[in-house]
Amino acid sequence: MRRVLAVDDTRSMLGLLVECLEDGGHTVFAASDGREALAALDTHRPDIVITDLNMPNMTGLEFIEAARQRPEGRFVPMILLTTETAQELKDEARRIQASGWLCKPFDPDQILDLVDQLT
Amino acid sequence: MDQDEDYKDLFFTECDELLGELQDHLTQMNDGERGSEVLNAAFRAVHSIKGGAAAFGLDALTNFTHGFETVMDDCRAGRVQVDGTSLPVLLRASDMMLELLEHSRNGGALRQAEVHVVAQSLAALAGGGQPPAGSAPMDDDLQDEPDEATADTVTVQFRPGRTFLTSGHDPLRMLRSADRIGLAEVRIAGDLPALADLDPLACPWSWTMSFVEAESATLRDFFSIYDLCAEIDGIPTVGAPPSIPMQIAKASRNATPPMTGLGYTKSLRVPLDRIDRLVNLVGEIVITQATVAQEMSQTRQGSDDMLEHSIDALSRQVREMQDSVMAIRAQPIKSVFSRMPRIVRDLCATLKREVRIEVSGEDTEVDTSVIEELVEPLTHMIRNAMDHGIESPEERLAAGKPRDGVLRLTAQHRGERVLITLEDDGRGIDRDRVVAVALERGLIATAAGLSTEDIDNLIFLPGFSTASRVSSVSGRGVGMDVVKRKIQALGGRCLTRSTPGQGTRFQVTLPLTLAVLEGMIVEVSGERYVVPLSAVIEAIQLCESNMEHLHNGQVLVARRGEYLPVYELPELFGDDLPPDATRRNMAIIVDTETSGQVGLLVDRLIGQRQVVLKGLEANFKPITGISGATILGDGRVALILDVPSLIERQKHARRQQPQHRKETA
Amino acid sequence: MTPNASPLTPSDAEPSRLSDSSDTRQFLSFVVNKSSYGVGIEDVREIRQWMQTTTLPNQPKHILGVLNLRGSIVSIQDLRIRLGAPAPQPVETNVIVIVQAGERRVGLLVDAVSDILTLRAEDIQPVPASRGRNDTEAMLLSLAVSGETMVGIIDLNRVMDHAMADPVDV
Repeated sequence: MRRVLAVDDTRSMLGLLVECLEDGGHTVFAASDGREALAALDTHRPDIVITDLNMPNMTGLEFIEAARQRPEGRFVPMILLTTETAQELKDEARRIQASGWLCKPFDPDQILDLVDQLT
Repeated sequence: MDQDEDYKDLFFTECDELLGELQDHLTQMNDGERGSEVLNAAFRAVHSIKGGAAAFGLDALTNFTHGFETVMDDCRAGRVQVDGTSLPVLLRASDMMLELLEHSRNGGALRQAEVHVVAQSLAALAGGGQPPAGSAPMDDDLQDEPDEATADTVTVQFRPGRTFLTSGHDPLRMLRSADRIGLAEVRIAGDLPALADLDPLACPWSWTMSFVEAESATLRDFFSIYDLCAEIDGIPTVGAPPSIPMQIAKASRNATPPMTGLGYTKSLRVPLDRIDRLVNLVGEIVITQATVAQEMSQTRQGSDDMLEHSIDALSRQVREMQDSVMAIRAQPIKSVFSRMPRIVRDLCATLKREVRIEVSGEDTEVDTSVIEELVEPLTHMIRNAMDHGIESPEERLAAGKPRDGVLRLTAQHRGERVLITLEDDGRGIDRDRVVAVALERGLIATAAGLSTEDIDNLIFLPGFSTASRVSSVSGRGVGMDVVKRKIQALGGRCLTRSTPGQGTRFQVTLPLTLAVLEGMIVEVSGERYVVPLSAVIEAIQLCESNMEHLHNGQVLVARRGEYLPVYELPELFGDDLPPDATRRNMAIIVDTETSGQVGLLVDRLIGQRQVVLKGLEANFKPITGISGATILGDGRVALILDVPSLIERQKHARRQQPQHRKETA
Repeated sequence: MTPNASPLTPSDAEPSRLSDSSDTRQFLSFVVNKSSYGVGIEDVREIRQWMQTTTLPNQPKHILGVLNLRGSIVSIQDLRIRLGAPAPQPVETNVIVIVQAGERRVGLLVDAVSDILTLRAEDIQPVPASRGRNDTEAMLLSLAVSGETMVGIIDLNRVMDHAMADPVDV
C-alpha cells in the first residue's frame, strides 16, 4: 500500500484515477492543480506523484519543477499522465526531472503496475 | 463498473461546463480578444474534453476533439492566426462538439457528413501534416495489438541518463521490479569514480538485462516509463501502428456509438424538495384515507359491501403508493460510506497511525433524510476510534498485532431498521478510566452493580468525553455523548461493546425511514401516544393475580412465566401521577432492546395504524422519550414514544438514587 | 412566504435611528392580562380559536403543547404566563396568534385580539433601561403609544429562545 498523490483539474479524470489507485489498495491524496499539489506534497509526503500536464494556474510541468526544488520532492517519482505527445513537452519534462511520461487514457492495471514498479 | 458509469455521468456534466467555457472564450475571441490567457483557456477546455472522451472510449468525440485540440494548440502558440478565417471554423467546431457530446450521451443519429466537413476545415487550418482524426498516441496505443510472439530471451541495454537518480528513479528498485517480469540476468558496466570525483546524484553505471519468456508488450510497458531519463536499446518493437488513413476512415464511418442508443438517460435528477412535497402529500393522503376508513367502520350499515371493498382497495393502494414514494427517497448508504476512507487517510497522517478501513454493505438502502444526517456521527465515531482506540504502529507491534490497524464499517438491514457497525481492532475501552471519569464528573454515584457492558456504555453519558486535552482531531467536547444524541434525534440507538486489548465495536441502529412508522396508538390520561409497532410485543390485562408489588415501589407483571417491570408513563416523563392512575389495568409489553421487555400502563388501546412522522425539532430540543409526533385521523397531534430511552433514563436515575421510593397511590 | 422583516431596532437604540416620520408600520394588537401588546403584522401567520393542544411532557408551564397547523406541528405558548401572570385553563374564547420569526413558528395564546394598528416611528419608544426589568418588560422589544393606550411590542426572538431554553433532559 503506497501513498499516491494524484493531480488533475478535470474532476472525472481525477475521480477515475483516484478510484483506480484506491481499488489497488493504495492511499490516495488528490489535488486539482499544481498549487494544491505542492501543498499536498508537503503535507502528505506521498511515495509517488501522478499528475496531469495541462492545468490552470500551474501546469504539471511547472509543478514538478517547483516540487523538485523542495526537499519533500527531490527524489519522489513524479509521472506525467497526459494526452499530449509533443516532443518539446517531453524534452521539458526531462529537463525538469520528471520521472516519466504516461499517455492518457490509462489502463488501470498499468497504473498499478507502475506504482509497484517505481516505489 | 457502476462507478465508471457515475464518472461517465460526471464527465458529461463536466463537458457541459467545459463547452460553456469554450463558447465563452470563443465569443471573446470573436469580439477581438486575442490575449494568451483566453487562447490558453480555450485550448484547455478542448484538451480536457478530449482527455475524458478518450478515457471513456467515446471514439467519435475523441477523434474530432483531437483535431480541434491541435488547432487550438496552434492558435495559442501563434502558429495559426485567430482571425476572420479561422474563427468561424472554431465556432462551428464548438457547435459540432455539442452535437457529438449529445450523441455520445444519448445515442441517436449523428450527422456524419457534417462532422467530417468540419473536421476537414479544422485540419486545413492546422496546415499540412495533421490528420483530422486523431493520430495514434505515441506510446500507449488504444488499439494495442494483442498477439505478440514472446521471444525466448530478450536482452535490453539500459543506460541511465544524467538525471536518472534525480528524477526519482532507483536502480535497485528497478531491478527488483524487473525481477518480477522475468529478469534472468544482469550485467553491470561502468566504474565508480574516485571518491573525490564522485557525484552522488549521477548514476555511473549502465547495465544489460536479460529477460526470459517475457512478453514484448510487458517489456515495452515496463521500460517506457524510463524514456525520459535513460537510453534503452533492445526492446522488441510493436508492429506498425494503425495507418492514418484507417483512422480517418474509422472516424467518418463512425462506428457504433459507445452508448447503446438508450435514447434518454436511465435516471432523473429531481430536486429533493419536490420529493419531500410528494412524501408529505402522500402522508396526508394516508391520514385522510385512515379517517375515511374509520368513519366508514363507525357508520357502516354492514350491507354496503361495494363501499367496504372500495375502501379496502383504497387502503391497499395508498399503502403501496407510500411504499413506492418512500423507495424514491431511498439511497444506498454508499454516498456516506465512500467519504470515510478519505477521513481515515487524513487522520492517519495527522495522528501518525496506520489504519485501513474495510467497508461493506454500501448498497444497503436508507432514506435520504437519514443519510444526510449520518455523516457527522459516523465521522465522529471514526475519529474517536482512531484517536482513542487504535494504537500507534509501535504499540501495536509491541502487542503482537499487525502494524496496520483495521476499521470495519458495515451496514445491513435488520427488520425495519438499518444496522451500522464500526469495529476496530484497537486497545478496547479502558474500563477503569471510564469509571473514574464518570465518577469524577458525577455522572454515576457508584460503580457498584455495573456490568462491563454498562461501563462501556458510560461513554455515551452527556458530559463524558475523556479528552483531557483538546485534541485537534476529536475537537473540543465532541464526545460519544454528542454522537448518541444525534443518533437518538434520528430515532436510532447507539450501543458499544469492547474487549480490552482486542478492540471495540460501535453499533448504531436507525429507522429505515424517518418519514413513516407503523404504530400502535394508545391512550394515557386522555392523551394519545403512538408506540412503534416493531417494539410492541403484546397487550395484557392487569389484575391482582398477575401483579407483584415490590418494596421499592416497582410493580411487576407476570407474563409467560417471567416477571416484567411495569411503568407509568407520566412518571417516566418525570411528571406527577394524575389521580386516575390507579385505575389503569392494561399494559402493553414493549421490547426495549437494551433493557429487555417492560410493560407500559395505558388506559386503552386505540388501534394500529401507519402514521406519518412529523418533526418537532423546529421548536424544541429533542425531548427524551419522544421521537417525534404525528397527526392522527382527527387532526390532532399524537406524540411518538421512544420507550427504550425512557426506560434507560429511568434506570439511570434509579442507579443514582438507590434509595428512591416511588409512592404508589 | 414573506421574508422575515427585521423587528424594530433593539430597545437600547436611539429613537432617532428609526427612520423618518413617513415610515409607518402595522401591528396586530391583542390583550393579555388586561394590557395591550402587539407584534409586527408581517410576522403574523394566522389567528386561530383556542383548541386543545397535545401536551408535551416535562415542559415549563408556559408551553401548553402542540397543535396541528395544516400538517405542521406548532408549539403553543401561553403568553399570559410568559408575561408574568398566572393563568387559568384556556377556554374557547382564547385566541392563538401564530407568529413566525425566521425559520421558527410558534402559537401565542392571548386573551383576545384587538386591532390592527398603524404606528409611526416616533410612536415607538425603547423600553426604559433595565433597573431590574420585570418578566413582562423582558419580553418586550419596545413600547408604542396608540391613542391613549400603551402597547408593548413583543420581542419574538425572546419568545422563541425561551422555548428552547430549558433543558428537558439529563
